[in-house]
Amino acid sequence: MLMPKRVKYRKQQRGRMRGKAYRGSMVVFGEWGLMALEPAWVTNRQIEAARVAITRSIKRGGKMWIRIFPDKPVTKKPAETRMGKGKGAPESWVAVIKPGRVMFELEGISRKLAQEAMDLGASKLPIRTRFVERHQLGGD
Amino acid sequence: MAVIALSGQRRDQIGKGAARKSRAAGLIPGVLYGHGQEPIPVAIRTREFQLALHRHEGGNAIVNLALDGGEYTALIRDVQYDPLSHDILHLDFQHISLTETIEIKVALHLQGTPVGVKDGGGILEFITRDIQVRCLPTAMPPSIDVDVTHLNIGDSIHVRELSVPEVTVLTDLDTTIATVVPPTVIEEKPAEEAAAAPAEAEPEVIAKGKKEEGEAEGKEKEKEKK
Repeated sequence: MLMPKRVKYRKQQRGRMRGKAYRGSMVVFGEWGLMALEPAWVTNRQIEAARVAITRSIKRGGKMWIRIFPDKPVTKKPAETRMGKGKGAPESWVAVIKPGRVMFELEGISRKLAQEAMDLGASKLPIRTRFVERHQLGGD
Repeated sequence: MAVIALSGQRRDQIGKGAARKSRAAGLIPGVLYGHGQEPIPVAIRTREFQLALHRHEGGNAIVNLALDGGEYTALIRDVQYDPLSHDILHLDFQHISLTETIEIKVALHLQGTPVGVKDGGGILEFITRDIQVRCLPTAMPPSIDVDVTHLNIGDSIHVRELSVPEVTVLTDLDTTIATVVPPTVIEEKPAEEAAAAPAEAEPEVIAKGKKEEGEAEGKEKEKEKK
Protein backbone atom coordinates (compact mmCIF):
# COMPACT_ATOMS: atom_id res chain seq x y z
CA MET A 1 0.00 0.00 0.00
CA LEU A 2 1.17 3.54 -0.73
CA MET A 3 2.89 5.43 2.11
CA PRO A 4 6.05 7.54 2.46
CA LYS A 5 9.39 5.80 3.03
CA ARG A 6 10.76 8.56 5.25
CA VAL A 7 9.04 11.47 6.98
CA LYS A 8 10.32 14.50 8.84
CA TYR A 9 7.63 14.37 11.53
CA ARG A 10 5.44 11.43 12.61
CA LYS A 11 2.28 13.45 13.22
CA GLN A 12 0.66 16.37 11.44
CA GLN A 13 -2.08 18.87 12.16
CA ARG A 14 -5.31 18.31 10.25
CA GLY A 15 -5.38 21.45 8.10
CA ARG A 16 -8.22 22.60 5.84
CA MET A 17 -9.27 21.77 2.29
CA ARG A 18 -10.45 25.10 0.89
CA GLY A 19 -10.51 26.03 -2.79
CA LYS A 20 -9.92 24.07 -5.95
CA ALA A 21 -6.95 22.05 -7.17
CA TYR A 22 -5.31 24.38 -9.66
CA ARG A 23 -2.31 22.07 -9.88
CA GLY A 24 -2.78 18.51 -11.07
CA SER A 25 -6.12 19.38 -12.64
CA MET A 26 -5.32 18.47 -16.26
CA VAL A 27 -4.87 15.07 -17.88
CA VAL A 28 -1.17 15.13 -18.77
CA PHE A 29 0.17 11.56 -18.87
CA GLY A 30 -2.59 9.51 -20.45
CA GLU A 31 -5.67 10.06 -22.55
CA TRP A 32 -8.44 9.66 -19.94
CA GLY A 33 -8.66 10.70 -16.30
CA LEU A 34 -10.76 10.51 -13.14
CA MET A 35 -11.33 13.92 -11.58
CA ALA A 36 -12.44 14.60 -8.00
CA LEU A 37 -15.46 16.89 -7.62
CA GLU A 38 -15.38 17.19 -3.83
CA PRO A 39 -12.70 17.78 -1.20
CA ALA A 40 -11.75 14.69 0.83
CA TRP A 41 -9.08 12.71 2.55
CA VAL A 42 -8.54 9.63 0.40
CA THR A 43 -6.80 6.86 2.34
CA ASN A 44 -4.11 4.59 0.96
CA ARG A 45 -6.55 1.66 1.26
CA GLN A 46 -9.08 3.45 -0.93
CA ILE A 47 -6.40 4.31 -3.49
CA GLU A 48 -5.27 0.68 -3.53
CA ALA A 49 -8.86 -0.58 -3.89
CA ALA A 50 -9.46 1.78 -6.81
CA ARG A 51 -6.17 0.76 -8.44
CA VAL A 52 -7.03 -2.93 -8.20
CA ALA A 53 -10.53 -2.33 -9.57
CA ILE A 54 -9.19 -0.34 -12.54
CA THR A 55 -6.35 -2.73 -13.40
CA ARG A 56 -8.66 -5.75 -13.19
CA SER A 57 -11.15 -4.03 -15.44
CA ILE A 58 -8.63 -3.13 -18.15
CA LYS A 59 -7.04 -6.59 -17.84
CA ARG A 60 -3.96 -6.72 -20.07
CA GLY A 61 -4.20 -3.62 -22.20
CA GLY A 62 -3.58 -0.03 -21.27
CA LYS A 63 -1.37 1.86 -18.88
CA MET A 64 -2.38 3.53 -15.66
CA TRP A 65 -1.01 6.44 -13.65
CA ILE A 66 -1.86 7.25 -10.03
CA ARG A 67 -1.52 11.02 -9.67
CA ILE A 68 -2.12 11.23 -5.91
CA PHE A 69 0.02 10.07 -3.00
CA PRO A 70 -1.05 9.57 0.63
CA ASP A 71 1.61 11.60 2.44
CA LYS A 72 -0.44 12.86 5.39
CA PRO A 73 -0.48 10.76 8.59
CA VAL A 74 -3.80 10.48 10.42
CA THR A 75 -3.67 9.68 14.13
CA LYS A 76 -6.28 8.03 16.32
CA LYS A 77 -6.61 7.57 20.05
CA PRO A 78 -7.31 4.03 21.30
CA ALA A 79 -10.89 3.11 22.22
CA GLU A 80 -12.14 3.91 25.74
CA THR A 81 -9.34 6.35 26.41
CA ARG A 82 -9.86 9.53 28.40
CA MET A 83 -9.16 12.81 26.66
CA GLY A 84 -5.75 14.38 27.05
CA LYS A 85 -2.39 12.63 27.43
CA GLY A 86 -1.27 13.84 24.04
CA LYS A 87 -2.06 13.12 20.43
CA GLY A 88 -2.92 9.57 19.39
CA ALA A 89 -0.72 7.19 17.45
CA PRO A 90 -0.47 7.36 13.61
CA GLU A 91 -3.07 5.03 12.17
CA SER A 92 -3.31 5.59 8.44
CA TRP A 93 -2.09 7.69 5.53
CA VAL A 94 -4.27 9.94 3.41
CA ALA A 95 -3.98 12.10 0.31
CA VAL A 96 -5.59 15.52 0.62
CA ILE A 97 -7.82 15.92 -2.43
CA LYS A 98 -9.38 19.16 -3.59
CA PRO A 99 -12.10 19.50 -6.26
CA GLY A 100 -10.61 19.39 -9.76
CA ARG A 101 -7.76 17.03 -8.94
CA VAL A 102 -7.10 14.32 -11.55
CA MET A 103 -6.45 11.22 -9.45
CA PHE A 104 -6.04 8.42 -12.01
CA GLU A 105 -5.13 8.42 -15.70
CA LEU A 106 -5.41 5.75 -18.38
CA GLU A 107 -3.97 5.28 -21.85
CA GLY A 108 -3.91 2.66 -24.57
CA ILE A 109 -7.54 1.57 -24.36
CA SER A 110 -10.81 2.70 -25.91
CA ARG A 111 -12.90 5.45 -24.38
CA LYS A 112 -15.70 3.01 -23.50
CA LEU A 113 -13.36 0.61 -21.70
CA ALA A 114 -11.63 3.50 -19.91
CA GLN A 115 -14.96 4.88 -18.73
CA GLU A 116 -16.07 1.50 -17.41
CA ALA A 117 -12.77 1.04 -15.57
CA MET A 118 -12.91 4.53 -14.08
CA ASP A 119 -16.52 3.98 -12.94
CA LEU A 120 -15.43 0.84 -11.09
CA GLY A 121 -12.46 2.69 -9.56
CA ALA A 122 -14.65 5.66 -8.58
CA SER A 123 -16.98 3.37 -6.64
CA LYS A 124 -14.08 2.64 -4.26
CA LEU A 125 -13.55 6.33 -3.47
CA PRO A 126 -15.43 8.40 -0.88
CA ILE A 127 -16.18 11.30 -3.27
CA ARG A 128 -18.11 12.19 -6.41
CA THR A 129 -15.93 12.04 -9.49
CA ARG A 130 -16.06 12.85 -13.20
CA PHE A 131 -14.55 11.04 -16.18
CA VAL A 132 -12.39 13.54 -18.09
CA GLU A 133 -10.25 13.48 -21.21
CA ARG A 134 -7.22 15.37 -22.48
CA HIS A 135 -8.16 18.91 -23.46
CA GLN A 136 -7.01 21.00 -26.37
CA LEU A 137 -7.74 24.58 -27.47
CA GLY A 138 -10.65 24.81 -29.89
CA GLY A 139 -12.20 21.43 -29.12
CA ASP A 140 -10.96 17.90 -28.49
CA MET B 1 -2.87 28.59 -41.32
CA ALA B 2 -5.93 30.83 -41.30
CA VAL B 3 -5.96 34.00 -39.23
CA ILE B 4 -9.04 34.24 -37.01
CA ALA B 5 -10.69 37.62 -36.66
CA LEU B 6 -11.36 38.63 -33.06
CA SER B 7 -12.38 41.89 -31.47
CA GLY B 8 -11.72 43.02 -27.94
CA GLN B 9 -11.39 46.04 -25.75
CA ARG B 10 -8.68 47.49 -23.56
CA ARG B 11 -9.09 47.01 -19.83
CA ASP B 12 -8.57 50.09 -17.68
CA GLN B 13 -8.43 48.26 -14.39
CA ILE B 14 -6.12 45.38 -13.60
CA GLY B 15 -5.93 42.93 -10.70
CA LYS B 16 -8.05 40.00 -9.55
CA GLY B 17 -11.05 42.09 -8.48
CA ALA B 18 -11.37 43.76 -11.88
CA ALA B 19 -10.71 40.45 -13.64
CA ARG B 20 -13.52 38.78 -11.67
CA LYS B 21 -15.88 41.63 -12.53
CA SER B 22 -15.09 41.31 -16.22
CA ARG B 23 -15.70 37.53 -16.07
CA ALA B 24 -19.06 38.17 -14.41
CA ALA B 25 -19.86 40.57 -17.25
CA GLY B 26 -19.26 37.86 -19.87
CA LEU B 27 -15.72 38.85 -20.77
CA ILE B 28 -12.45 36.95 -20.63
CA PRO B 29 -9.57 39.00 -19.22
CA GLY B 30 -6.30 38.70 -21.07
CA VAL B 31 -3.05 40.40 -21.94
CA LEU B 32 -1.38 41.28 -25.22
CA TYR B 33 2.41 41.41 -25.12
CA GLY B 34 5.50 40.92 -27.24
CA HIS B 35 7.26 42.53 -30.18
CA GLY B 36 8.95 45.08 -27.90
CA GLN B 37 5.74 46.80 -26.88
CA GLU B 38 4.28 47.52 -23.46
CA PRO B 39 1.82 44.82 -22.34
CA ILE B 40 -1.82 45.81 -22.92
CA PRO B 41 -4.54 44.39 -20.63
CA VAL B 42 -7.45 43.32 -22.84
CA ALA B 43 -10.89 41.75 -22.49
CA ILE B 44 -12.59 39.52 -25.07
CA ARG B 45 -16.27 38.60 -25.18
CA THR B 46 -16.53 34.96 -24.03
CA ARG B 47 -19.21 34.02 -26.58
CA GLU B 48 -17.29 35.63 -29.45
CA PHE B 49 -14.08 33.82 -28.47
CA GLN B 50 -15.85 30.44 -28.26
CA LEU B 51 -17.49 30.93 -31.66
CA ALA B 52 -14.24 32.09 -33.28
CA LEU B 53 -12.23 29.14 -31.93
CA HIS B 54 -14.98 26.56 -32.37
CA ARG B 55 -13.79 25.34 -35.76
CA HIS B 56 -10.09 25.77 -35.03
CA GLU B 57 -8.02 22.59 -35.07
CA GLY B 58 -4.72 22.13 -33.27
CA GLY B 59 -3.28 23.90 -30.28
CA ASN B 60 -1.90 27.10 -31.83
CA ALA B 61 -4.24 29.77 -33.13
CA ILE B 62 -3.32 33.06 -34.81
CA VAL B 63 -5.83 35.84 -34.37
CA ASN B 64 -6.24 39.31 -35.79
CA LEU B 65 -7.11 41.15 -32.60
CA ALA B 66 -9.00 44.39 -33.15
CA LEU B 67 -8.68 46.65 -30.13
CA ASP B 68 -9.83 50.24 -29.66
CA GLY B 69 -7.61 52.07 -32.09
CA GLY B 70 -5.50 49.30 -33.56
CA GLU B 71 -5.23 45.82 -35.00
CA TYR B 72 -2.69 43.29 -33.83
CA THR B 73 -1.70 39.91 -35.24
CA ALA B 74 -1.28 37.69 -32.23
CA LEU B 75 -0.68 34.10 -31.26
CA ILE B 76 -2.76 32.64 -28.43
CA ARG B 77 0.21 31.69 -26.29
CA ASP B 78 -1.55 30.49 -23.15
CA VAL B 79 -5.07 29.73 -21.95
CA GLN B 80 -5.93 29.32 -18.28
CA TYR B 81 -8.94 27.16 -17.42
CA ASP B 82 -11.05 26.70 -14.32
CA PRO B 83 -10.21 23.18 -13.08
CA LEU B 84 -13.84 22.21 -12.46
CA SER B 85 -16.03 24.02 -14.96
CA HIS B 86 -13.29 24.28 -17.60
CA ASP B 87 -14.33 27.87 -18.29
CA ILE B 88 -11.59 30.06 -19.73
CA LEU B 89 -10.15 32.30 -16.99
CA HIS B 90 -7.42 34.19 -18.82
CA LEU B 91 -5.81 34.52 -22.26
CA ASP B 92 -2.26 35.38 -23.25
CA PHE B 93 -1.88 36.94 -26.71
CA GLN B 94 1.63 37.25 -28.10
CA HIS B 95 1.97 39.99 -30.70
CA ILE B 96 3.77 38.50 -33.72
CA SER B 97 4.73 39.45 -37.23
CA LEU B 98 3.67 37.12 -40.06
CA THR B 99 7.10 37.53 -41.67
CA GLU B 100 9.20 36.59 -38.60
CA THR B 101 9.79 33.08 -37.32
CA ILE B 102 8.33 32.02 -33.99
CA GLU B 103 8.90 29.10 -31.65
CA ILE B 104 5.83 27.04 -30.85
CA LYS B 105 4.80 23.63 -29.64
CA VAL B 106 2.98 21.49 -32.19
CA ALA B 107 0.85 18.51 -31.18
CA LEU B 108 1.64 15.05 -32.59
CA HIS B 109 -1.19 12.77 -33.68
CA LEU B 110 -0.61 9.04 -33.97
CA GLN B 111 -2.13 7.47 -37.08
CA GLY B 112 -3.14 3.83 -37.34
CA THR B 113 -2.90 0.82 -35.06
CA PRO B 114 0.57 -0.71 -34.67
CA VAL B 115 1.16 -4.31 -35.78
CA GLY B 116 2.43 -5.10 -32.28
CA VAL B 117 -0.88 -4.01 -30.77
CA LYS B 118 -3.12 -5.63 -33.38
CA ASP B 119 -1.37 -9.01 -33.60
CA GLY B 120 0.94 -9.16 -30.58
CA GLY B 121 -1.37 -7.70 -27.94
CA GLY B 122 1.19 -5.03 -27.01
CA ILE B 123 0.45 -1.61 -25.56
CA LEU B 124 1.13 1.57 -27.51
CA GLU B 125 2.76 4.15 -25.22
CA PHE B 126 2.49 7.74 -26.44
CA ILE B 127 5.48 9.34 -24.73
CA THR B 128 6.02 12.73 -26.41
CA ARG B 129 2.75 14.42 -27.33
CA ASP B 130 4.15 17.66 -28.76
CA ILE B 131 7.41 18.98 -30.15
CA GLN B 132 9.01 22.41 -30.14
CA VAL B 133 9.48 23.88 -33.63
CA ARG B 134 10.56 27.15 -35.24
CA CYS B 135 8.67 28.32 -38.30
CA LEU B 136 6.92 31.22 -39.97
CA PRO B 137 3.42 31.79 -38.55
CA THR B 138 1.98 31.23 -42.03
CA ALA B 139 3.68 27.81 -42.29
CA MET B 140 2.65 26.69 -38.82
CA PRO B 141 1.23 23.12 -38.97
CA PRO B 142 -1.95 22.61 -36.89
CA SER B 143 -0.61 19.19 -35.90
CA ILE B 144 1.87 16.59 -37.14
CA ASP B 145 0.64 13.12 -38.08
CA VAL B 146 2.89 10.22 -37.09
CA ASP B 147 2.28 6.86 -38.76
CA VAL B 148 2.74 4.05 -36.22
CA THR B 149 1.24 1.12 -38.14
CA HIS B 150 4.66 -0.51 -38.75
CA LEU B 151 5.64 -0.64 -35.06
CA ASN B 152 6.05 -4.11 -33.60
CA ILE B 153 6.54 -4.99 -29.93
CA GLY B 154 9.75 -3.33 -28.72
CA ASP B 155 9.86 -0.83 -31.61
CA SER B 156 9.86 2.93 -31.13
CA ILE B 157 9.49 5.96 -33.32
CA HIS B 158 11.70 9.00 -32.72
CA VAL B 159 11.60 12.71 -33.54
CA ARG B 160 14.32 12.29 -36.17
CA GLU B 161 11.99 10.11 -38.25
CA LEU B 162 9.51 12.96 -38.70
CA SER B 163 9.48 14.92 -41.93
CA VAL B 164 7.77 18.27 -41.62
CA PRO B 165 8.24 20.75 -44.47
CA GLU B 166 9.05 24.44 -43.80
CA VAL B 167 9.65 23.78 -40.12
CA THR B 168 12.83 23.52 -38.00
CA VAL B 169 12.47 20.97 -35.24
CA LEU B 170 14.04 22.18 -31.97
CA THR B 171 13.23 19.17 -29.80
CA ASP B 172 16.10 16.71 -29.32
CA LEU B 173 16.05 14.38 -32.34
CA ASP B 174 16.60 11.29 -30.18
CA THR B 175 13.41 11.91 -28.21
CA THR B 176 11.05 8.94 -28.37
CA ILE B 177 7.55 9.75 -29.62
CA ALA B 178 5.85 6.41 -29.15
CA THR B 179 6.79 2.84 -28.36
CA VAL B 180 5.00 -0.50 -28.30
CA VAL B 181 5.64 -2.42 -25.10
CA PRO B 182 4.72 -6.02 -24.28
CA PRO B 183 1.45 -6.50 -22.36
CA THR B 184 1.78 -6.36 -18.60
CA VAL B 185 0.91 -9.50 -16.70
CA ILE B 186 -0.78 -8.80 -13.40
CA GLU B 187 0.20 -11.37 -10.80
CA GLU B 188 -2.47 -11.55 -8.18
CA LYS B 189 -1.48 -12.95 -4.82
CA PRO B 190 -3.56 -15.84 -3.50
CA ALA B 191 -5.94 -14.90 -0.69
CA GLU B 192 -3.80 -16.67 1.93
CA GLU B 193 -0.66 -14.76 0.98
CA ALA B 194 -2.51 -11.49 0.88
CA ALA B 195 -3.90 -12.12 4.35
CA ALA B 196 -0.46 -13.06 5.66
CA ALA B 197 1.10 -9.85 4.31
CA PRO B 198 2.91 -7.90 7.04
CA ALA B 199 1.06 -5.06 8.71
CA GLU B 200 1.96 -1.52 7.71
CA ALA B 201 5.25 -0.45 9.23
CA GLU B 202 5.77 3.16 10.20
CA PRO B 203 8.12 5.11 7.93
CA GLU B 204 11.53 6.19 9.11
CA VAL B 205 11.59 9.63 10.73
CA ILE B 206 14.38 11.83 9.35
CA ALA B 207 16.95 13.00 11.93
CA LYS B 208 14.96 11.53 14.78
CA GLY B 209 18.01 9.69 16.12
CA LYS B 210 20.08 12.86 16.24
CA LYS B 211 17.34 14.71 18.08
CA GLU B 212 16.99 11.97 20.67
CA GLU B 213 20.75 11.84 21.21
CA GLY B 214 20.81 15.60 21.58
CA GLU B 215 17.95 15.49 24.07
CA ALA B 216 19.65 12.75 26.07
CA GLU B 217 22.92 14.70 26.20
CA GLY B 218 21.06 17.82 27.30
CA LYS B 219 19.37 15.94 30.14
CA GLU B 220 22.69 14.51 31.33
CA LYS B 221 24.22 17.98 31.39
CA GLU B 222 21.28 19.27 33.43
CA LYS B 223 21.77 16.45 35.94
CA GLU B 224 25.46 17.25 36.21
CA LYS B 225 24.65 20.90 36.93
CA LYS B 226 22.30 19.86 39.74
